[in-house]
Amino acid sequence: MLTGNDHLRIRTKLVVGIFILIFIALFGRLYYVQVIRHKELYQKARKQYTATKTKISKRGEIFDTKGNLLVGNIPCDDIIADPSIVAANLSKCRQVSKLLAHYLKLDYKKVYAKLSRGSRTVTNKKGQKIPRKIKYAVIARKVPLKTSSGLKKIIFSKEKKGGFKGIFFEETYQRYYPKGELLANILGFTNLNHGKVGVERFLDKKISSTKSKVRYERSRDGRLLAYGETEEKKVNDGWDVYLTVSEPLQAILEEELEKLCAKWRPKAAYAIMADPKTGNILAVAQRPTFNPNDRRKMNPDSWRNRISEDIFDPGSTMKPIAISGAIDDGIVKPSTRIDCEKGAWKYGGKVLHDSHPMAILSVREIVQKSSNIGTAKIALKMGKKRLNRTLRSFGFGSRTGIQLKVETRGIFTRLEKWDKLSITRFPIGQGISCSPLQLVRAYCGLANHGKIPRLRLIDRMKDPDKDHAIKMWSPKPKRIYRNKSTWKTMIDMLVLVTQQGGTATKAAIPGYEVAGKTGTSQKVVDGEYSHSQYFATFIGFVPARNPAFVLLVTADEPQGAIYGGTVAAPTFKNIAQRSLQYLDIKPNPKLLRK
Amino acid sequence: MNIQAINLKSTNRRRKASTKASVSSKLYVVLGFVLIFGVVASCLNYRTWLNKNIARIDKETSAYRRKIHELNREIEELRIRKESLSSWTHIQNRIRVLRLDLRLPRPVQTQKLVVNFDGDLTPSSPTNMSGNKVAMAAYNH
Repeated sequence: MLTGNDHLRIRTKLVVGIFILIFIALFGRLYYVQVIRHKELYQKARKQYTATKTKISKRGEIFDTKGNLLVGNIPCDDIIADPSIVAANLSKCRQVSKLLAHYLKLDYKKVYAKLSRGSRTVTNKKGQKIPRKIKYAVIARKVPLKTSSGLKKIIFSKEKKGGFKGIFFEETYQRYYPKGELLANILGFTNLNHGKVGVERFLDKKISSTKSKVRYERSRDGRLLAYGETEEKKVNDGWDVYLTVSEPLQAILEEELEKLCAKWRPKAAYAIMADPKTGNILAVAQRPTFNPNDRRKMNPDSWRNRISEDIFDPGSTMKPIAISGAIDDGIVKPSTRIDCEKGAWKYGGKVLHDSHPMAILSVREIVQKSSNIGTAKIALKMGKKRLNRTLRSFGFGSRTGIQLKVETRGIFTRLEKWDKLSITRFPIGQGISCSPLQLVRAYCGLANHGKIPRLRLIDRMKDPDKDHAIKMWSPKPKRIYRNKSTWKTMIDMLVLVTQQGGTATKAAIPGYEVAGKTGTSQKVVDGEYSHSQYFATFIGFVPARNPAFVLLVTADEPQGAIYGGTVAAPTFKNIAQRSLQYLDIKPNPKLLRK
Repeated sequence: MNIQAINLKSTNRRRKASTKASVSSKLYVVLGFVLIFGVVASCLNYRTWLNKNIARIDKETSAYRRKIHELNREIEELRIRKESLSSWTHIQNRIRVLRLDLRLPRPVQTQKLVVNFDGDLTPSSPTNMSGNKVAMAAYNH
């Protein structure tokens, strides 16, 4: 018979046995969960407590030389929806659609159509049609911060009460041009975050923004856990670019060019200001232009960078360049007298005309009065080789190397292919074409005491992460003249152009010596020189002996007048006068008294 | 037959003494377990409390971080707006709207003020300012 102790022993053994069985079962389960299904469950859990978000860096900004912002990035939001969540409750879907349509000024029907379509039918590999959830729908892109933050407050406050779920705000940036049309052609614009025109295009790789995915461990409410693991690839902001352009000078140029367009209604017009010592482009304006912030009104004709892409016959602005070669080689002197044939001279079977009949003129007067015949005769004295060498040394036929994509070389026939007329037409700027930038570079050579600089548009670039700037390299200016006094002689002659008896008296500025040259060139239409369409140009530098800048003003097909001295010279004067005041270059009291 | 005489009194006494010893030793073991359990429990409790605090601070930090981030974005937007308002086109429009008869000064009306630094301008001590030479010259061209 069993005693009480035996019962106790049996019960104890039974309990211990049950516990052992429970432990064995637990260990078995543990093994099953931790070892056999470990991978699957770990992935499942990881999916629940990790989240992924896209981090976008900023596209580099563009500044003028003094750090005034020309192109920036406005922070804004893309509004995204997960229709698979929103469409689950159609009455709430309607409410949120109304809210979004009202705030974002969108069509309610379109918003509702996007949000209420929670799935779509797709065909799988076996050819079966299966429904697939739609988890990403863009409601609105680049929504201004003010609008999106107002909307965010409503969406998130409602969300806490279990209201609007499935609406997300993705941070992004919008390229913005705070100065509007100012320097628009040079700056260019972007499309889908890639530069299309101008500096935006030229430096696209350097200033582009980058994207990276960040995977982080999150809490229940979606916050990043400080002690959790984070996988993140570094994103670098694009480099900031500092141009050589000065915003105040640019504003002057734009304003005066606008006045020229209002007065003469040309098809196009442009002005370029450059520092002849460094080759820095100080300001560039062109018409037609565009406002990069208003894409609807933009057209390809106004995007084009006329200063580097277009070519035109420089006309009489070429004369001082050709003549300077003859003076440098000692073929003529400023006082050498040449017969200008009273306005008509036959050479190579063709008659060359002057705008006004002139008899015997000195070389000095040929430049001052812009005689075609006189210049052609000087070129004949020089000979083909010398003329070719002179024009090429001033950079005609070769690119300026400016930091803009698509730059023309211009048209300058090789010496071997010159015809009989070339020697008399090239020095007067006919049959030879150049870009406005090439002409500015050539005059920078004249202004900079015969040393031709390389034109620069980008001054320096800055890595925002490392905070150091890289100055853009520029070679030393190239010497053109062999004779040291040639540049002085040339400046003396060019100053006469803006004085009494010259072709550009309207370019004269009281108190300053202005050196320059007018140009009135016929446009080539259907392979022939037009007698109704002209380019009116004035290019010069001031103060003549120690120039602060070289300035080119050109009007393409002006209405009412055709001469550079009438159309372009007054604009040159206005721009130069205001710029000199801004640069604090005082007038010469002696010249003021005159 | 092997018969031994047993002193029952002494045997009982011995048994009582050994029972007492085993109870106290068991008590020690139990106490030890309780102590260890207590230490472990308080460690776990402390850890839980720490985690709770970390989570709270973490929540606060991320709220502040988000706020800073939003403010930075607002600052960035304001910077661009400021640049937009300081453009010459905008200023010119305002001059026109407000009918301000502003003109550029004539060159002879402007003067340039130049500050010449002779060495470091930072004072060596707050009271000793005389050691720094500051020369100001106004000149007219």
